[in-house]
Amino acid sequence: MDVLFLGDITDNMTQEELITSLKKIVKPYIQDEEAFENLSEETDFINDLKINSANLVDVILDVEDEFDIEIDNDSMEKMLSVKAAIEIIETKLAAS
Amino acid sequence: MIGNDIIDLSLAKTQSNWQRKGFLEKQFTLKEQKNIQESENPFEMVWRLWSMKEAAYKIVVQQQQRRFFAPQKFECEIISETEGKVILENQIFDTVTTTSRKYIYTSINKSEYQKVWKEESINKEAMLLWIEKTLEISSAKIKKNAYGVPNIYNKSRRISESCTITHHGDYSGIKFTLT
Repeated sequence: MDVLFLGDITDNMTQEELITSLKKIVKPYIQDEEAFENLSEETDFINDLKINSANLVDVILDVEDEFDIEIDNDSMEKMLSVKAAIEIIETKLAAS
Repeated sequence: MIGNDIIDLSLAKTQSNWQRKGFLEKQFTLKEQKNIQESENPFEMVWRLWSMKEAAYKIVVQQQQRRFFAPQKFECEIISETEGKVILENQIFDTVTTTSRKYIYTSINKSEYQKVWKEESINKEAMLLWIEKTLEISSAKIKKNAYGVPNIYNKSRRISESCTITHHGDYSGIKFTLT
């Protein structure tokens, strides 16, 4: 029951809710406060937020935990921006 | 083309938890994970392998002019204390890694100009100053293209053939070849 209910929420998650939840995930790893405050779909994890590449792995693991999805290597390869991350999360959620 | 990567070990200790579930599996091949497990100093081996992958990635970005995040595709081989190889598809990169108690530095391919700054938070201005002094030029600039690839310019003319810059915590390094 609980699982079904949770699934329902994530299915209907709006873009905005996804960004909010992603913002919470990346927060511990960012090194540019200003870019973080202005985070949008166009924000790049490395160029804008200055997340170091080893911490990008943490972002990916945190996304997997938060949304209960698995990010395969092909998806991981593209996960360099908020936009790409949202697309990947949405695709994985739709398939789950 | 050339590549480099530096790791500030004390920062790596606080910034990443390599023992976190999934951390090794996401970025290292089974063989590399075995290298880490069997190493006398697994922490150091994690970051040595990581710096080898990063240094090779910096060359591949210059070649392909695209960004991607696929650490597992860069397969590392440890040859000796300092030497290694990184294999990506049909390319082999020979790596030289310096490991000290405080930092790990990996370099691929020789270049005429190379400098590593240790235990000081070097800023861009200081790096430019060093370039100007070394090349005896007056207005050096470093510009990065859309893929984050840096190049050195003098009076808006590009003078580096290949350039690679690395920075982590209190450690920085630059290498470049001239056109």
